[in-house]
Amino acid sequence: MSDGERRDMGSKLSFGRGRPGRTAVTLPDCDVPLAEMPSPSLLRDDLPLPEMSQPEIVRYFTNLACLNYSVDTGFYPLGSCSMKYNPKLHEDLARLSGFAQVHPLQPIETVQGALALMHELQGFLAEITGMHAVSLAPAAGAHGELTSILTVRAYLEHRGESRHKVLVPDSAHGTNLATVSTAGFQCLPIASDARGNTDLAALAEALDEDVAALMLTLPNTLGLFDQNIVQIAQMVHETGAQLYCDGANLNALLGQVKIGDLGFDVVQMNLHKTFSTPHGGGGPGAGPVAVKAHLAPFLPSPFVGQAANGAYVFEEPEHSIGKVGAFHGNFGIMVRAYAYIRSLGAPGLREVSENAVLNANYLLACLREAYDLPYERRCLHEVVFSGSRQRAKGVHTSDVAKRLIDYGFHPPTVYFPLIVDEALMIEPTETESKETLDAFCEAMLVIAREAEEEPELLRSAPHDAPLRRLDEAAAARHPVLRWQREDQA
Amino acid sequence: MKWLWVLGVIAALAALSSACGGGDKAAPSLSDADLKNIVMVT
Repeated sequence: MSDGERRDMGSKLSFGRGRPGRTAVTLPDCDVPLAEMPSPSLLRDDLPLPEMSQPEIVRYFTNLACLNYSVDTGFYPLGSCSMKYNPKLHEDLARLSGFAQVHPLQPIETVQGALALMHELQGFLAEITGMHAVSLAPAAGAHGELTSILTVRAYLEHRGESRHKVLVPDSAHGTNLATVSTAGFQCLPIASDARGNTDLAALAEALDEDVAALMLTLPNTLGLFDQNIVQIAQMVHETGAQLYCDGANLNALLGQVKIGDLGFDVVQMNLHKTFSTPHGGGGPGAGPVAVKAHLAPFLPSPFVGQAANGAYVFEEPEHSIGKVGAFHGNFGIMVRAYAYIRSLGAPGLREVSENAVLNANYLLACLREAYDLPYERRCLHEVVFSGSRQRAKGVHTSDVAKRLIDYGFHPPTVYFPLIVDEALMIEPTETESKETLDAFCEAMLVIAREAEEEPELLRSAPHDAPLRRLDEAAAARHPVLRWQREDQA
Repeated sequence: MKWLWVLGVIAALAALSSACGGGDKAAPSLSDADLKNIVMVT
């Protein structure tokens, strides 16, 4: 597609492209008796559908599809999202008819293969996280968070304890705070220290017998491993609270360390991130929850168990919080995760995290002279820079991100985590080559020079996209979710 | 040997898939009453 065609795609929808009387199909003459039409009061004669020829429609939608940016079309360094390449083989496997065409209401004796897969996957995930039991029911990461905290709440209530507060570090994903609120707890923020770890003094001050849990992301959203994690676990448990791990960043730890061994009681995993499923734009996903033995009786149903005769069955844990979604979770995502884990094996999974961490540190080393590094440490799977140096020239992080579009890259996560001024959060993942990383670094270094010498170039970017600067605040506060005719808008 | 390993994984998943009576292999049969209900709901 030429630059002109790209810009044209952004200028109008199909509604502005038709001509009266133009049609995409020619129907043969009717050779059956005409049926009586419904009452005219039920018919509309003003449907403003675009009237286009077939080639016009085909070209319109093909060109529109070509505007999509995905991990299949280019480097996608979105921080905290693990946009890794997803092996196509797994897509084929997820589409095997025995998996893709089963119905959740079929008798379980006709879906033993699917249940066997779920049962084995529960075991794999328990082994990877060092936990005792796994529920595959949650359908997304945030859903897994909520399920985890509801499980903790049920456990505490069963013990007759009434606790009202959940502690969340100031670097946490926003979903953590939403989880706390939705689960009916009061959220207390905990500061991070100068090295990006949880501030132990602040934690000690906040911990009391009214605290139900501490929600900790590991590595945290700064891409840093909390060096005090063992001590934190001890402090939390001494007050009778539970330690929850937001496992969104599990890509950094696969095969290196088990979450359970560090002292966590419960962890949610994002299968769609860590275990290779195409994602973004709202799903589908899967957010299984793994727990230590004392929390297992409170997990949501169904849990896949095995009867004495070897048959796989759905079971409900003794004090289950009940169902957290329809049926049995997003099964297609489980098939992909199962295939990924079995294909790589234990050594392969360890290699995933090694390369993810290596790639992020390569970016750190290449870009640290051009962008400020708020924490002088080696990172794990993602690196967070600050655009504060560029801001002195009147250029903001969002300008850097927009300029990257001109160089053909998806922008990284910006302005998150909130505790980093002008944050630029880059997660390369393990599937990118050195050549791709070098090309990205080159673009970032050129942009840093442009910020010094031609800042307006960044402030007015992107220059080659179909649409340029959108009013994002207006889009969020006054969303227009459907097309309207101009005279009705 | 890695390709042999991957072939093994494919075979394992194919076997699990075969152990499910889904889709064209065992489409659930619907009675006339079921069909009527579905039509009425839709």
